[in-house]
This record gives sequence, structure tokens and C-alpha cells, in this order.
Amino acid sequence: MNRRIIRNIIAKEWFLTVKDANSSMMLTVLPLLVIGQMVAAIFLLYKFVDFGKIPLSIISGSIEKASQVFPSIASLPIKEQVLSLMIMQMPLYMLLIPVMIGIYFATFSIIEEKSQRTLEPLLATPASTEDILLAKGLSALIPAYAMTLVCYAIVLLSVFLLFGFPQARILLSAIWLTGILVLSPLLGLLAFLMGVMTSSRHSDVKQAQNSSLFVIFPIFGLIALQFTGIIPLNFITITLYSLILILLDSLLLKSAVRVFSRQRILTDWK
Amino acid sequence: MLRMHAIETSNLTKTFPNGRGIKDLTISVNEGEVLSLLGVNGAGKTTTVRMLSAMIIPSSGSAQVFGKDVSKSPSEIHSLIGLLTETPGFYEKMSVEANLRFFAGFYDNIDAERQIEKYLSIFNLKDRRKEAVSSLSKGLKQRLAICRAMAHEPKILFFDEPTSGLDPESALGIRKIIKDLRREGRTILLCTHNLTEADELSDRIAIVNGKLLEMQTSSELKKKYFKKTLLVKSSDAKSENLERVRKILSMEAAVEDGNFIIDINDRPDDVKSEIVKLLIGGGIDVREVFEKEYSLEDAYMKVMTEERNR
Repeated sequence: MNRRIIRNIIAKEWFLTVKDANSSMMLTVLPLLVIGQMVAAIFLLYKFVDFGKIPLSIISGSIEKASQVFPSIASLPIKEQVLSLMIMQMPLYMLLIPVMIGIYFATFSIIEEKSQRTLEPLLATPASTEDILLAKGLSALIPAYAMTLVCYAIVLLSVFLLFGFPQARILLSAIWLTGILVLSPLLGLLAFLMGVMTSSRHSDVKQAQNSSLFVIFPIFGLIALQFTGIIPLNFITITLYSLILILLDSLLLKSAVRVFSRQRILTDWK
Repeated sequence: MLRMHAIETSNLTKTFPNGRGIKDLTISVNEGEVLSLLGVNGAGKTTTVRMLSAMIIPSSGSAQVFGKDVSKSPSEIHSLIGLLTETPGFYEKMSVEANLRFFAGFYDNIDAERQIEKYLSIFNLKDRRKEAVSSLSKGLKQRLAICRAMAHEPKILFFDEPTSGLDPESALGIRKIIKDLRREGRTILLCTHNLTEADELSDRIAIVNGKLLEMQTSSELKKKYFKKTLLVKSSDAKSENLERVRKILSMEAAVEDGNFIIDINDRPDDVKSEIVKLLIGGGIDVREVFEKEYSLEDAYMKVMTEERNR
């Protein structure tokens, strides 16, 4: 691993990201739109929906499970309980941010290198495959992680300002903090590696992204089940989930390095 | 002083599932030599370059570049070589100098900024340094690609089709650059379909078609495949006078396109004036006499035809 080479590639990747309007939008505007829409939807529901008219039997099970994780919810009025339930879903959406950015950057940067025919001169330099993949991965993961944290901070502040500290406290719970701080980079890496793998099979960015999403969503669905209470949510399960992701990331990293071999790229990639 | 072999291969082989590739390539290229690799599409030229530049692993055999094994030391090989690919790609949105800076940034034994300055000057790209690569013509991009291949002062340059698809003026410019590099004593492996270019720029020619068919200097190749002949322009160059000419000269002769063709293979260099004297003395009209020139293209076609008929 050569740090100078890795820094060199990251600098180039970021320069091209800034120069490309789509990539810049993907990195900044889209995550903000996702969370902005989410906060606005919850605020409008809270403000204008008469919860008295909703048959509570639909959500009573979920409230009961949520109360097991966050006991403070149990003593709140029904409107506040529904609000808590909605706020509990927010980190799940925030975990979409590193996934989206990871897939986008992996497929974009590799397929761009293929289509611009810069891969061969790049592979003819002393940079190793590991250096190239690590640099490309970091150039996607660092901004993705930073953007996830920024979005998390914005959501936290918005919830605090709109609904007060008792609701914001849900987002500050150890479970959600672990989710954002640990799961988001692991999911981002998984998405990136999946993007690298699918990019080897496609010459079109959209095709590669679709294939990556197809593989990544079942994994993401498991988290959804966990966070919505169908699978019990506690420190053991979240740690277990992180460990599974670390294992998956390691396996995929090995496969990605194999797929990204110079010979395969030059002779098999179309 | 004994010069080191820049490239040395022994039974170097790379085969692909489609049957293409190159088999049993045994060659050596001296330091400071320009070797042209000629052959049809799919003959194994690019595969050879990729193996020698440690980009693909040989199926069997071995290859050393300046003593480094291509299979064992890819990273060291990458520091020794400068590669100009068939279609040189650039980061189009980045400027000329940013592209050079990026690629120079992979080598730790050079002062990147100084090298960039040096080669932008040599290749007359200084005025365009701040411009995005997308604004350059194909010819300028090719010049920039050579600049990129040379920025880290490689010991050997691999040029894959350097003038392919260029307009005549740009191609001439690239050929001039290669000639200058040759004069400087750079070692170059040149893959090309342009036989005139190969003849003009190379010390030796290797003809491949899935295997090595020939490897000699251009003049050796021509000598091997064509007899030395004298072309005599004459109003008497008709088949009815052929026997008379043969008798006068006591040499093998033929009539071709209204000229006498005299076989002077293995004859001394001053045989030309002797022939003229004998023909005039024998009453044959002689208007012009010159040695028939064969091009590398003629030799190449002969090699390929013989290979096909084998």
C-alpha cells in the first residue's frame, strides 16, 4: 500500500467529482432532498393528521415493540407515540445515503475509466490493484460518510427544533448512533465493492448501478426488518449485523480485487 | 562497452480461449534499439506489448525487461516502461498539465513539476497546458500521450500504433518525435501497421502472426526475400530479344513491364557499368539503368504469403 499513490488517485477522483455536475448533485443535493422530504413529511403528518381517526390497532404492535427498546415512549400521548415511531424510521433512510453514494461512485468512476480508456494507462503505472481500489473506495466513502453525518446532524437539529428534546433523544440513542457511525461506512463499503464487481460486467453506468442495487437491497431489507422491530433491535443484534457486514465486506473486497485484475480488465472487460 | 539487453524473451507464450495470442516468442532487443513489431490484426502484437509491460501474465515462457522478470516484478517493470496505448485515454475534463501531474504522481524518483515543464516544452504543448484535454485535437492528444509516457524517464518505450487514425501532418509530427527519440538512443518497441513508418523508424523489424516469422533489419529482410536485380529501360525490351540479351550478358534476365530485369545477385557492386557496356556493344538500346528497389512492404507481403501457403 502506497499512501502517495492513494492520495494522488483520491485527489483526481474528487477533482472530477467537483467538475461533474451529476456527481456533485448526487453527493450533496440528493441526500439533502431525501432527508428534507422525510422531515417535511413527518412534520406535515404530525401537524395535520387527526390521529384520533386512525384505527390504532394497526400500529399498536409497533408501538409496543418500540417501547421495549425506548421505554420513555410508553408514557407519551398517542400522537407523540406515533411521532416517535416515525422518527425511529429516520436513521434507516439515512443509511441509504452511503449506499447510494457508494454505488454511484464505484460504477461512475470505473465505467468512466473504461469508456475514456484511462484504465490501461492507469494500470501501467506502479499503482497496485489494492492501491487503486482502496483509493477509489476512500474517495467515495469519505464524502459518503461525511454526508451521512451532516444529514444526521441536520435531522437531529430539525427534530429538536420541531418536536423538542424528548423526540430528538431517540436519535441520540446508542443503537442509532451505532447504526449511523458503524453501519453506514460498512454499508457504504459494501455498496462500493458491489459497484466495482458489477462494473466489470457492464459498460453502461445505469446498468451497473441497477445490478448493484438489485444485490444490495435484500441486504438492506434485513436492516429494515431489524429497525422496524420485526427482528428484535438491541445491541446484540446490531453488533451481530455489523460483524456480518464486516465479513461480507472482506469477502467482497477479495472478490473485487480478483475481478479487478489487470489481465481481466484488459482482456475480458468490454 | 557491452550493452545490456533491454528485452529478452524465451518461448514467451500467451494464448486466449479464442485461440488468439502469441506462441514461443524468443527475441532480444538491445538497449537503444528501435524494434518494430509488424503483423495483421490479432497477430499478437498488443498481447506481446502487454506481457512485456507486465499487464498480462504469460501462459508460459519467460520475459525480462532490463533484467526484471515480467511475471515476478510487475511494479518494477511499470517504473521502467512508458506505454503509449493504441487509443490513449485522458481525463478529458482535466487540463493538459493536471493529466500529466496525475500520471507523474505515481513515480517517486522524479521531480514531477520539472519533468512536466520539460516535456510540455519539448512537445510544444506549453501554450495549451491550462486547457482541458477535451479541447485538443487527436494529433495533440497523441503528442500528450507520448509526453505522459515519457514524463517519468522510462528506460523503454512501448508505442502501440502511434500514428493510427491521425491526419498526415500529425502523423508526420509523431514520426519526427520518434526519430528524435531514436537519435537520443531511447529503446523503443513500436507496434504498427504502417510499413513505411516501420522502415523509416526502426533498427530491426519483427514480423509476427501468432508466432515470430522474421526478425531482421529491413535491408536484411529485403535481401533475403528478393534477388538483387538491375532494371534496364530499353526500346528493345521485348520477349523476342530476351535470348539475345541473356547471351550477351551470360546472366539470367527477364522482360517485365517493358523493361529488362537482370539478375545481379551475388555479383560485384561495379557490375552495373559492365552490363551497360556489354548491352550497348551488343546493339541493345539502353536508355536508363538502375537497381530495382524493394520496399519493406514487398518483403512483408512475401513473408505473409509464404506463411499463408505453408
